[in-house]
Amino acid sequence: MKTIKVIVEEDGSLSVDMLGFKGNECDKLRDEIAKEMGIVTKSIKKPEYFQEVKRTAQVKV
Amino acid sequence: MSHLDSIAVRITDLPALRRVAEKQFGAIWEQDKKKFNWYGAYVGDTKMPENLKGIEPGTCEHVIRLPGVRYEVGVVKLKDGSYTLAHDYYSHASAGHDGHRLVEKFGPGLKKLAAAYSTEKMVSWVKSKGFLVNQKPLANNRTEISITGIV
Repeated sequence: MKTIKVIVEEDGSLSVDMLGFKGNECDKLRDEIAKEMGIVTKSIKKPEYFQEVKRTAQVKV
Repeated sequence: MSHLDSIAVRITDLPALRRVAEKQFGAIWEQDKKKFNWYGAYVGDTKMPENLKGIEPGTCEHVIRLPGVRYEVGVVKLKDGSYTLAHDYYSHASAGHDGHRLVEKFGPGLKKLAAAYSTEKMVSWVKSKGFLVNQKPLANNRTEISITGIV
């Protein structure tokens, strides 16, 4: 299940962890949160970011 | 994801700030009050915050006031269009300087007010997206917000 876990720190800054996403599919939401809330001061890519998202396609002949 | 992000929150949503100041702290929002009560003169005993340099001390766009407290919080507009909170924590009982009461209510550096704003703003965004939100308090005045229902 896709979940975003946000910790509001004591000083009001945020730690944002996006769980259950694969590859770069979370980038749009991540950008939206950053734009809405403030400035990203630190960003770490987790191993899942580098996992390939499996896609299927139907081809009509 | 994929990412772990740290975000420094900028105050951009004044209605959200007003809501938390009034509802969570019992403060009074003074719209368009351009000066807030403080010691009244910068005497150089503390370092001026970097983002307030170039702004006349004691000036602001709006004021957050606590009932029965003389010193106030100024909502100050910054060059980038966002806002910051300014206050003076100086106290001297015999002279009516009661900055410590702002600290008692809003925390050192007004951190409690800043954190409450961040929570309000974040939850407000989540709801606007139609996601589900669950929040729970953690130790040390931290809050966890879990967002689900993301498709």
